[in-house]
Amino acid sequence: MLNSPTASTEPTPDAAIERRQFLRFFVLIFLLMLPVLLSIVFVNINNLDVALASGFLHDHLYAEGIALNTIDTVPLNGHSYLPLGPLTSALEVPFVALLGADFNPMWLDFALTMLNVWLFWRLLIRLRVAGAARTWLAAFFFIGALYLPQAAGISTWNLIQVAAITLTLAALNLAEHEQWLWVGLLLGCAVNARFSLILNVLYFVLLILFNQELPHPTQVRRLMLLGAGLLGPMLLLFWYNYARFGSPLETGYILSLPGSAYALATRQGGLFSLDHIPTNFYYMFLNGFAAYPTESATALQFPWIRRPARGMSILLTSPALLYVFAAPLRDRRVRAALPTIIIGILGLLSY
Amino acid sequence: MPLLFIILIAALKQNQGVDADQPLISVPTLFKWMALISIILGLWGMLWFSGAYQLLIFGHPIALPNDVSVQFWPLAS
Repeated sequence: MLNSPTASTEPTPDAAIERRQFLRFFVLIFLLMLPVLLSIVFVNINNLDVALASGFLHDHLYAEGIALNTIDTVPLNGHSYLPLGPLTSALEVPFVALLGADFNPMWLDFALTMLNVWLFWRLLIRLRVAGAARTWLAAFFFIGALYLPQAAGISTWNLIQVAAITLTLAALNLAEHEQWLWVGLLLGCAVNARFSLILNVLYFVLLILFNQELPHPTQVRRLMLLGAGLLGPMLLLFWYNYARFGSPLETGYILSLPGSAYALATRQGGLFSLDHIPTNFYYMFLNGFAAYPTESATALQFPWIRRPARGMSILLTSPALLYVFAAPLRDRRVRAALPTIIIGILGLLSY
Repeated sequence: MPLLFIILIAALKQNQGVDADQPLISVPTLFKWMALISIILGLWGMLWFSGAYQLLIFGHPIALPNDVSVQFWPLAS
């Protein structure tokens, strides 16, 4: 027993190397996120999230002090409501209570991103990714797959994406530890951040059902735990929607003031429509760089290219994702994730 | 996106001839090159498109949403 590595309080050489590897990566992301901290000092954000957190503190469900003609809000009965989940505002309530409405939510964005680094690293360890492969995958996730460009944006919308990733990564970690009640609770909270994340529940349900080693009663018990965890946050969300708009399923999105004539035009055919598919397919898979300053300029100027306003093809920005097509279907995680992603992509294309 | 990475890890293990319950220690060279392209484009996208970096480089956010108002940026003045 004395010779067992677990009996010693001294870290093994491998553990020390791994700890240094994690610290190096953590510091790299910390440095890349520093401009977010600088923006906190120099930018005053009239954040919709904070206005809603102020509302929560005063027992309202509307964003306090937001003008009725503010885009992306729902003007109703003389108040501005947000067509977003309440989670990030709920997280901000203690800070707004302590620091007032001047609290800058980008602190939260920064802190959650650093937490995401740790959560993703833990997930890689659980999925038995080691050595250089761990660093490559973490760098690809945070820098190459557009996490940081989103996290370094300074708006309500960016913070919601970061919080949604935090909850999803935490749920994936806990699923590896078979903590299904907590997984359900975190997924429910994620839906309170971003409604479309309800789709993620499918992955965890299939993960349980595809585990052939489990007897049927154990599968049922795990599904019930998942459902029980999900129930509380979902009921809260239904109540939140009902109290604001009179329907548990009305998020307010279709009622919100569009941000542009383009956004208004895209809503004419409904939020989801087959008509949106060619456009979304083009931007998701085919669109490339745009010329700088304009396509019609006779001579381009430095840096000659720019990112187009509606984004570039995922095949161009993240070609390494093409490796997913080589995934083995016998792996139960792959079989659970694939239908979830396919349904998610179909939803995105028709949105 | 985390689910895509779950599939990606399984694919890389398959590529490297590693079972699901065995550790993946290295990734193929082609993957490294493709990931490097993504990382460079990600950094470029961050410099060009993220509000916090726009402030640092241009002195003002050029594509910020309506709920952000710039008060003052001393480094650009």
